[in-house]
Amino acid sequence: MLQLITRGVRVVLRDPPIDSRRAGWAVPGKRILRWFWLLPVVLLGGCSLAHFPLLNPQGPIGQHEFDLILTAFLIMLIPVVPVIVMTLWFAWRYRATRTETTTPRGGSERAVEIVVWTVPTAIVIALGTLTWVTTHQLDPYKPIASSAKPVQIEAIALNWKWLFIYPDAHIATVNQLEIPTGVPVSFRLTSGTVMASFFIPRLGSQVYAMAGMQTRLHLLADQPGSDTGLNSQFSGAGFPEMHFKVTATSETGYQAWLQQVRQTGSTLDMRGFEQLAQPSAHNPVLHFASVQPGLFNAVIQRYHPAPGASHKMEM
Amino acid sequence: MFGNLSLSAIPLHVPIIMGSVGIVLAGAALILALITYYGKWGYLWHEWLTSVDHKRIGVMYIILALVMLLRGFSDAILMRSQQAVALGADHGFLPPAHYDQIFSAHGTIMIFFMAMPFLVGLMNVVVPLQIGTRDVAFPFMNAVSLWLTVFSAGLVMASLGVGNFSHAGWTGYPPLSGLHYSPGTGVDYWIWSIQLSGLGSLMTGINFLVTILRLRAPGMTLMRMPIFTWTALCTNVLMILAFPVLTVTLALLGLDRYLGMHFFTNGMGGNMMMYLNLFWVWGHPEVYILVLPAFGVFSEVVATLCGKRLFGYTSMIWATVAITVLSFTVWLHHFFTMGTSADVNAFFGIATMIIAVPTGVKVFNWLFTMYQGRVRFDTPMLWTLAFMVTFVIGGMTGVMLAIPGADYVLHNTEFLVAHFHNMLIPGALFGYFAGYSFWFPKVFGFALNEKWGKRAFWLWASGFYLAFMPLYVLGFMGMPRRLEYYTNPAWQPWLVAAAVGAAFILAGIVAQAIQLLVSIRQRESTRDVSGDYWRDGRSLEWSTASPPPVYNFAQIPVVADRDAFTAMKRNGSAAHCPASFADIHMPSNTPAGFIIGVLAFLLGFGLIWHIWWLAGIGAVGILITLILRATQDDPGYIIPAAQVQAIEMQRSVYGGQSV
Repeated sequence: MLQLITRGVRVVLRDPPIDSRRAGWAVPGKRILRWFWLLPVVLLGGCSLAHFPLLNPQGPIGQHEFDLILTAFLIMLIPVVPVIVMTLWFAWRYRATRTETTTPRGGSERAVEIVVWTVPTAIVIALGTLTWVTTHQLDPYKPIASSAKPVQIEAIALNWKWLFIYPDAHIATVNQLEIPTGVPVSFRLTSGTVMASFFIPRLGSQVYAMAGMQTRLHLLADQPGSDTGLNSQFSGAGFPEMHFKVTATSETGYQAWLQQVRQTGSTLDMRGFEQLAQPSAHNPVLHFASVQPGLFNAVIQRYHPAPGASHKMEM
Repeated sequence: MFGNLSLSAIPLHVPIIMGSVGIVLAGAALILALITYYGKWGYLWHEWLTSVDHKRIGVMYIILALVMLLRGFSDAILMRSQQAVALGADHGFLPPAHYDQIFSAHGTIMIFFMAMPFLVGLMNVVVPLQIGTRDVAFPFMNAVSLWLTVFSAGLVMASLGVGNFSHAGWTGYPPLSGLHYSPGTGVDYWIWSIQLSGLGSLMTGINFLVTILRLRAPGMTLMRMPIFTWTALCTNVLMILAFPVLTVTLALLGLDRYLGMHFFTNGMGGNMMMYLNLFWVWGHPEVYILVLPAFGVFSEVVATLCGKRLFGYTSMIWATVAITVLSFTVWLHHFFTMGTSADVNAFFGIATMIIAVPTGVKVFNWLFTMYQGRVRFDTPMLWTLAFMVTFVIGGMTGVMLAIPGADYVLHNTEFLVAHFHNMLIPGALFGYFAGYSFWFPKVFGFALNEKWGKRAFWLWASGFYLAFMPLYVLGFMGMPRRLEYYTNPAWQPWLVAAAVGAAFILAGIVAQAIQLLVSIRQRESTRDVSGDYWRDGRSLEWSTASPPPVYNFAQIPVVADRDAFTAMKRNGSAAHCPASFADIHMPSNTPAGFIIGVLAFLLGFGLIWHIWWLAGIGAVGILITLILRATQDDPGYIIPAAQVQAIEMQRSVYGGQSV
């Protein structure tokens, strides 16, 4: 039954090919699906799917996670709808003020009891299987299978901005993320301050960034477009400012952008980093034409001083 | 002399805070003036503040809960109005320093100082009556628990006018809550108010566990115990096992902050991931500490107001026990996004879903209790019906969050906020409200006004949907929680809708206040002379008078059936006056509990502001009070048989009978 539902959902979700020139991320792509979500949404607020990054995702990770949410939702409607209907129906049908009365029959009936335990158990077995399989498929640490060589990006959470280092291109940016379409992006995350959570809603998974540690995340955008990425973990007074623009462009556009950053920006070394790490909000986009090699690891190592070293760094 | 405390700690220049402080102080002054005007100080001191009577302690707990509900809700309505207007360059009317404290205080107050006192209050009122005993196992310790909780709430209230409250969220994740990133006193207020009230909760857990296991009326085997008492028992087990974890976790955080240690700091080997694990090892069982007693209330209400024996009693108990055990196996689902391996995440995700099985069983059992019953739409039943319909929606979104793959995008968004409010408002608060109206006539001898109760119900229920369904939508729009302002105009209509929902809930709270006043004014019209106000009472609390005499039962009842009072009514013994009365031994009142509460407040306040002599006075004072109390020969007092007989003869159910 589970497979049937999942398959049904997948069929519903199967996209017709999208005209890539027309398809910025802001354009809803799932035509068949549109009625399904848009109907209640339009009734309620007159919004378009463009405002729902989780319901109109980009790339395989976001898409898979959306499928998963929808599948789980549909499976759970199997017990939830009858319970709601039965609650209201029983309350009305057996109301005390009703003229014709049934004699209350007390006690438990074994058959009903068995059903009562079996139905939730069956649902949970179905959902549990789905969970086991998808948790491994969607493991944020798992590289995305692709013929293209992944782009490496190192993201550092600071108060209250994001620093992105492109180690292969030797450039860095603040509050701007540019990625090529159709190429997996392999993120390494850490924090130069409190805990943060790196999240681009339209692309999928988020993962925490923590000081002195490295976490991993793999995402992929398959259409060009731009949207917002953010820190979703509250991190103090400047937290509402901690978002950035993420843009996916074609490989040539991406190369051109790298070239542009290399020509316009300054250099980022550890001293520059310490300045950047000072708390500030409303940060403009910054470009660094070159980055001190190994800066990301150095930021992690700041929190692991050698024994006997002075304890000057912030704790 | 005064540690870090100076006059500048009082934010005289911030009108919103000073206004709130003014309202709180004016309210307190009004109450004190009324007590003085009516000359009730002696009555208040002798009959209430020094009382060890579980019923009065229960009532005081619930009064605390209702007062703190007002405070916590004020925070909520400030947040909802802020987010409704804080679009773009317009950052709303609350600065970050203030907004961040408000959401931290809202969560802390609602969990520790609204929900906990409410459920402990209900347990205090109901459990000893349901198991047919005269008091709890440790009446004095019960008073200590109460006053520790009350004065910890006092610390939170003090943070409003003196200094700041924590801005690190109610979960206080380090390193944000560490000294480096939160140098002020806010986090210390948060730590010490939770530590002191947590101690109270731990003692409550021990007290009621022993009470339920040792003081049941003869014949009441575990499998004849009323369902509310069963849920109370499981909640107590959870309190005893979970609260020490929280105490230790916050003590470690305190060591980081006070003595420069490095348990959870960024550097020097500190590890915030350990804090997250420890916090949620307490935090997830805490959810069931809050929810299980409400499940108990719903079970009692459904059976009583449908005129039927509870369907599947044994299933209910095993489901409750299963939830109790499983609640310790799921804590990691609060941070699937921390980078844990897929095997671990999948394990905790599936463990979380397994809890849906016993919970689902409970829902079905309530449904089948209604089936072929005679459903009466009194207020407690309305809360129960709203709970059943709403809770399954929250359960559904909870299972979505339990799937790691889905949680990766739903975590930390407004979807999460919507989900846990969707569990705790219907699952806990509606249950407490149902219990409040269900047992009110038992405690006070007159009922709450039904008309205003129903108005309050409809306002709360519709307000809930209006306030929280938009948050699910906002989650799908990728809106993170705890935003002070935002730049996405598409979010605003939904936030406005949520604010309107909060206004509905405000109207519901006003209706509840009116209900209380109207009920007191019209108390003669709803007087409960029988003791069995709902006429279908099934457990022992309905067998004694309303309000019950101080000793609860003139004769300890003998239990022969699961629904003990229903059986008594059936065989005619319920209306049968006892043949003879005996002297009753009761514990006497003591001011020691109240004094310990005051001293604990001084201890906490001294620690928060680094006023070490004050903290010393508090700590030594508590020790001395305990020693004095322990060495005092307090044998309690005896109510003579003749007096018991005189009290019992006033009951109309015994009308015309003589000894």
